[in-house]
Amino acid sequence: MKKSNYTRRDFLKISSLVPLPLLISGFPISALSSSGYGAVENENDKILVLIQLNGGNDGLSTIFHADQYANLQTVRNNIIVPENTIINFHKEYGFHPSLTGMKEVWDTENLGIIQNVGYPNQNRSHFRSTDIWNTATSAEEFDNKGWIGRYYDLNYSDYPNGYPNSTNPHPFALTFGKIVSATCQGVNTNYSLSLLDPFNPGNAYVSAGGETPQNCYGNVLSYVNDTVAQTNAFATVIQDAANSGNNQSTKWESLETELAKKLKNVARLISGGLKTKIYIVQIGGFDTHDNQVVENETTTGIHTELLKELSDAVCAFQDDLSLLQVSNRVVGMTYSEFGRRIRSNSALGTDHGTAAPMFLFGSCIENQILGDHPEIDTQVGIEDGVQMQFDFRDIYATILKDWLGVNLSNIQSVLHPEIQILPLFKSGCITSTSIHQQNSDSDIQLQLYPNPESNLLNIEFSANSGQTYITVFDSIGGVVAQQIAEVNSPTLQRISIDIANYATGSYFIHIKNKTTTKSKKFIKN
Amino acid sequence: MCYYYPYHVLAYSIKIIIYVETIAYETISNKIMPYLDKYLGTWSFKEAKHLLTRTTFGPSQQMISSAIALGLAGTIDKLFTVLPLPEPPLKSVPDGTGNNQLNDPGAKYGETWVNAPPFPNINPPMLRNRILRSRSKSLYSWTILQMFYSEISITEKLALFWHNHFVVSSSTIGHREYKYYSLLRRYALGNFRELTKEITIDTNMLLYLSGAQNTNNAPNENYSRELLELFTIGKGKLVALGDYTNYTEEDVVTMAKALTGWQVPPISNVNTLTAQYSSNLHSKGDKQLSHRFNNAVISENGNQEYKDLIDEIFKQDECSRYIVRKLYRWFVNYDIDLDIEENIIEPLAKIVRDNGYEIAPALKVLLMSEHFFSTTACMVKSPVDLIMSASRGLGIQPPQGNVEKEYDFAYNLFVLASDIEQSLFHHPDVAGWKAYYQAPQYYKLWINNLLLPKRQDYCRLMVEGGDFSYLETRYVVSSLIPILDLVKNIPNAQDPNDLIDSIALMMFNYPITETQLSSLKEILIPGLPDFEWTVEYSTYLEDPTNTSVKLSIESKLRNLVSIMLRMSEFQIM
Repeated sequence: MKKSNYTRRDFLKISSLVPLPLLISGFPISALSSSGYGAVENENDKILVLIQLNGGNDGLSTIFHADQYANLQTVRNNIIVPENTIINFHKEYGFHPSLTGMKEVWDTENLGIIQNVGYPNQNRSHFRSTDIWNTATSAEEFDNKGWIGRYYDLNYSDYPNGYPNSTNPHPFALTFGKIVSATCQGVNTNYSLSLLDPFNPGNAYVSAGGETPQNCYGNVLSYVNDTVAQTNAFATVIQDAANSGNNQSTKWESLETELAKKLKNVARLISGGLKTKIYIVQIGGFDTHDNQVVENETTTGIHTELLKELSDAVCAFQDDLSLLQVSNRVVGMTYSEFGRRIRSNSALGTDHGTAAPMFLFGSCIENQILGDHPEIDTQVGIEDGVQMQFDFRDIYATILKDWLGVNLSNIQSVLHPEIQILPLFKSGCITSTSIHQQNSDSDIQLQLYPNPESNLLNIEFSANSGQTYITVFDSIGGVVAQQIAEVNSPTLQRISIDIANYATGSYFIHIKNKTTTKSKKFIKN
Repeated sequence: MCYYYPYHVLAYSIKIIIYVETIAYETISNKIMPYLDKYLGTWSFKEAKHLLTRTTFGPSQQMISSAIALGLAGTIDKLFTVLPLPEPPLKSVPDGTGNNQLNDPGAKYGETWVNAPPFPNINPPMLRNRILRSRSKSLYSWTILQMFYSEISITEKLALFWHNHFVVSSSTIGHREYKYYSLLRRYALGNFRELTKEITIDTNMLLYLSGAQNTNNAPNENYSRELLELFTIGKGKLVALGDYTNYTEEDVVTMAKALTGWQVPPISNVNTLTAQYSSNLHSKGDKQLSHRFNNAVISENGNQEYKDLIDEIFKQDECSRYIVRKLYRWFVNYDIDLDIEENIIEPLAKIVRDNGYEIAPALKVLLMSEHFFSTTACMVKSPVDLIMSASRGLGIQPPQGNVEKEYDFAYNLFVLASDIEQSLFHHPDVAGWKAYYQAPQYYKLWINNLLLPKRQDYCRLMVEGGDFSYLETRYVVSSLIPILDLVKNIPNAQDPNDLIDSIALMMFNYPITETQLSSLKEILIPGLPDFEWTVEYSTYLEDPTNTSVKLSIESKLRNLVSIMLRMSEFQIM
């Protein structure tokens, strides 16, 4: 890697997209890969449950901040729920009225809320953005493999040849649905099986195999033959787990939703001893361009139903896991391809936006709200979404490290070199193989002035020593400029950037180092 | 390797801005097109079967024989003959108030309901909903029936292609779905650009992608985004802020404005199937597009403005490439590498453009090409192709003379395909079935540990009969492969080896191996020498009226074909 000799002045002129891969190529990888651990690690017995909210969940109708309600009401007058219906669960924050289950998960200290999760240069296409979340690539990169798939590729890249076997008798991952999740796509095949009914996973007929020539026909034929073999082999272990497992929570009794049925089965399989580490369940319908709520009855409607389905199912699942005494082995995470616009539209809906909150749950999850609440400006533009604070890949990285026990250099190869480990887990639960610092997010102090400004903006921050990324985002999540700073002193740092060439409007300064993240808005006049 | 900055304050490593250029495929010279050269090789059973398998649904053995006789050029002509629209769907539930009966004020049993008012003004609502559901059900069955009845014609395969391109996937009323699908069928062999215009103001589409909610006061960009990303030009790489190579975020917003003002009259209105333009809901004024459209200005043009907008989009050559890639993935193979891009996609895209976005000329060139016939057949059958190849392909025809039975038969097949993830009128989302776009698996997505057992079992039902359930309803399959008819034209069927090889050729792309043959013979005549079959089948041929011999032959053949239908080879076309 060559050392760059660009001057500070060059940075100040930057006013266009910085493609992230270039950034990565300029990053000193060795700075983070000094842990010295080998590639293969012993697997622990931890389990991850992914809940994908298809369509783009409206985070601003999910969690409310008391200080922002009035402004939010101004820009979302037709869809916002009345303030007195919001469930207070924290001195500043409240939930959508349908999230009674989440409140319970919070009260039992099993809920982590990560605010403003997204990625730079937000893509507002469902399909592309879903691919980005599933493959955990940057907005400019393309990778056919999913992030869970790449994780398994570390040690099992020969899969599916010779699986299941005595060392790996159980499926690596299960998707509840008819199509396997793209998160599990590996180099050869998808690591996930599909499952609807664990008592009857389905058996395939085995016929005499023919020739499999070295062409695309042979390739497809082998794929079908392999699927037959695996279907039958794995069906037995799944069925056995379903038969020996059980559910304990009485909360399931009143729940008839698809999500509840799926999570109930996940709990049952875990209690039945299935060693599958990754479960994926999906719930669709979050693309609420219109009729997100019922007119004048904003606590009812599609979004309410969806949140209720999610919240009730997660609450019952968590309760079941506790009663089954496996809760310290399981965490769950919700994700969605984007949040929605800050302003609602006149069809009682919201269009595709930018960042949104994520839920993490489990007895090992730190009960907290990580990050800052989105600041709502009543003059917000029609296209504006919530500015990202956390990169979703850092959440993935933390789960890989602190939960699945993957070492840093492997995480860097699965995700990206510049990961930031976040304080997501209760300290007694962390299973990572190396020590890392977990700082509170107050670690970075950030001030911008004057604000608004038209020429020279001063950025003043103090941060723990080390590599610090300073990024300018526009209001729809695009990266306007970025640079890396090496901070070798904890004292106050100040830089000025020339914004004279920026179009007028709102922007965000985003500061991130190995452990913390902060972002603040400024207005270009 | 490592950076080291020995400063006390800040050191900067500054990144250069580079716009990632997309690969421009503008380098085609005037060289001949070897890949698209007209196929001049043998025209036999194998080639005719390949062509018809890809252009129709589960071609029958008679269709393949006809195609062999017609020759390649003759078959192509016949495939591309524009046919009148089929007779509309019929009310298939008998009249009355008993079980499995229903009175529809719009139509008697056996008559079409499409000319009746879309909204049956009947109470209670439960009865009204039953009527609406029975119409939708009739439409879905009828759509499958058209696949059976259309013989050597590419129309139905293209109609389904457009259904997967201009996806509308929602539970609306049968009238709307019928009108929408008829539009796709009418334009199946036609003009991509003109179809795009019509579909833009189709009421089914206006409701599905919020076009009916798109007004001057509150533009809704749901449709304009998909119009660009999925329907016309496709999304390129993100190369600058909000710039997806082929269009920008700003274009999505601007185009939404040009599309404002279109409304769908309420369902109770007799005109509910026709979009209405309201000038006072239209965003007035000129709309300027981005540099991706050469900064073109769409001038204020009221209810004609959407057409101007679509004409402007189609001025970009990328639209022709985009649709050709999709057609290629539908008819040939998902794998489009640089070689295919350069030698197949680009020249075909030029033909599309030279013909003003008529798609038939380019498609004919593709389907008559060396490339099409030399490509290894390795497409995983879509559920509809699978079910059709296991039914029509092996001699099953819908029952005739009884509308209820005819439609129930087709509805069974619709449900079977739905259960293995290809539900007509109910795509997973607006991007259509994943098998046609989701890298890297593409067609392989039709098959996994859950779907494969079902796919095998549903093929088995076609030869053995039986029941299956879907969404807690039980269905019975009773129209079975006429197994004796299927083998009667096989020369030397008394020889079990010839018999099995011949059936394998009907069903699979490639001949089976010796091992497979022996294993299948064990199914036909377990533990017996070949001549036992020869004796028994000859006895049957001598006296086909001898019931006991006939039944014995038939059951042995059913066992055989039942296994062959579940072989991995049958999953591929």
